[in-house]
Amino acid sequence: MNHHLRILDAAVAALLRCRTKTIVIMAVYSLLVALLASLLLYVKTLRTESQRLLATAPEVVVQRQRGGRHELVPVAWADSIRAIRGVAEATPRVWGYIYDVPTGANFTFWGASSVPDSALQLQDGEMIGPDSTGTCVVGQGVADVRFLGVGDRLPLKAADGSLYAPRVIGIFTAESALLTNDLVVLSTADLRRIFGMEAGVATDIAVSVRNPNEVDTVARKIQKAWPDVRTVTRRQILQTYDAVFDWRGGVWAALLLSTVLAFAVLVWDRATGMSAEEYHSIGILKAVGWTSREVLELKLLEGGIVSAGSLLTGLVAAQIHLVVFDGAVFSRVLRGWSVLFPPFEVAPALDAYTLLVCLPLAVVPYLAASLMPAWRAAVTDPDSIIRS
Amino acid sequence: MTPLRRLRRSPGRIALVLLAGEIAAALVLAAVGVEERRAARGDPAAAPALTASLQLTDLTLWSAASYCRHPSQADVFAAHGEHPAAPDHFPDGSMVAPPLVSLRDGGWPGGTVEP
Repeated sequence: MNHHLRILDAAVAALLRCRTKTIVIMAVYSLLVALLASLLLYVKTLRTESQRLLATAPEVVVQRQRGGRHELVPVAWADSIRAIRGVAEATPRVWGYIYDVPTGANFTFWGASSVPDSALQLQDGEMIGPDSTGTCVVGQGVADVRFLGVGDRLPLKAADGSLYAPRVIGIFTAESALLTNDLVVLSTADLRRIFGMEAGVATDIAVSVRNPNEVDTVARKIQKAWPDVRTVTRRQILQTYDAVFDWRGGVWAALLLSTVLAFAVLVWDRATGMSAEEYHSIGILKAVGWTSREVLELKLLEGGIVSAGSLLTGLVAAQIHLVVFDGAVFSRVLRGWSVLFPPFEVAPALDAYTLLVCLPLAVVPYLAASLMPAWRAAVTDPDSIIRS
Repeated sequence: MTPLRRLRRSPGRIALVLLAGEIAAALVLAAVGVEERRAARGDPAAAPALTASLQLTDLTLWSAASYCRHPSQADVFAAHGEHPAAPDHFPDGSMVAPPLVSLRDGGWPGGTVEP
């Protein structure tokens, strides 16, 4: 053990002799690992949250289309859908968007009669009841951009041009911001009035299915009965988010990968072309009695310290970026053109996947690049190395 | 020789201690992260229950356009049909900026607030 510690001492001393070079290599390596790990952890957090929050989304959503455009669906269809074997419930949903000119934000208006207590995440106030009219519950983002508090009114222009100003009776908490940030929840009757939507139609129909294995069969039956509808199953909803996050992560990874490759080529070039001084020092070590194995162990430890140090520094930096700065580097890209962007916790949970992706990036190229020339020098006769 | 003195005379040991410190820092930050996320989530059952009761289908991440606010409910080609700069939903959306008018004064042609 002591023997190996001595070689480790020699390895650290060798690295400290070329201090600037070691620091620069470790800094660049750490930065690359930090960026890659941040990206992986950020995308993973988003994916985990989307899967968690949407795991209870409607099993099937039935939309009507005309000429490739969304069309309102007759409420009476819900009765026919309920009659399909396996369907537990079919609920017409009324929802839509209103562009808020003063803030430049798009609000999502959602019709609901009531929400069970178990689901209630209100920072302040109360939820609308089955008979409430002229009231609404808003998301944190809506309350922030319109400076709303409980008791204030949210003026809106209805479809017929008249002014409608429901009173805010509740504000959703920041914990549910990923679901409710831009939501304005009103009673379905109020929303119909704002949108100018007749009582016999709805935006779409949400269907719940008793047996999860029958979801696709039910969707097929609905599409067969109404050829102009499009069904969206929960599986498709979750897959959509997987695809969106994969794509976003992929674009960044592709950009990062080119940087990684450029750096790997640089490191390879430097490490394979061993300097005369390094070559000479290996010759001297061999001449004073070091075996080839010990020389290789020395080089392995040098590479190992640089790689492991960079990997760990990169991981720590990635976590600080996500925990302390909430992933500031990526949030601008993720936000896109959105005016309302929900605050959400991207605090990472380190996992084996991230480590397995970052480990080969930080450890393998440098170790391989520094070991190979050292091995060539170590197996050469020390006399010829020193004389050369 | 005391452990501290032994450490001071051995750069290898110092390197090992530094690496162990980094591992500890990574683990502490991971634990802090898990705790922060747990605190931010609040009651873990409440948000999924809200999804179920309001029958929500999408996250509020992007609210700039309908196909971004509800990507799962939009047509796969919606971005091209409605807006030339799908905000980061499709690859070309990130490459092509929207026309300035759509970002100015509420997006009304001519830059007026009301038509």
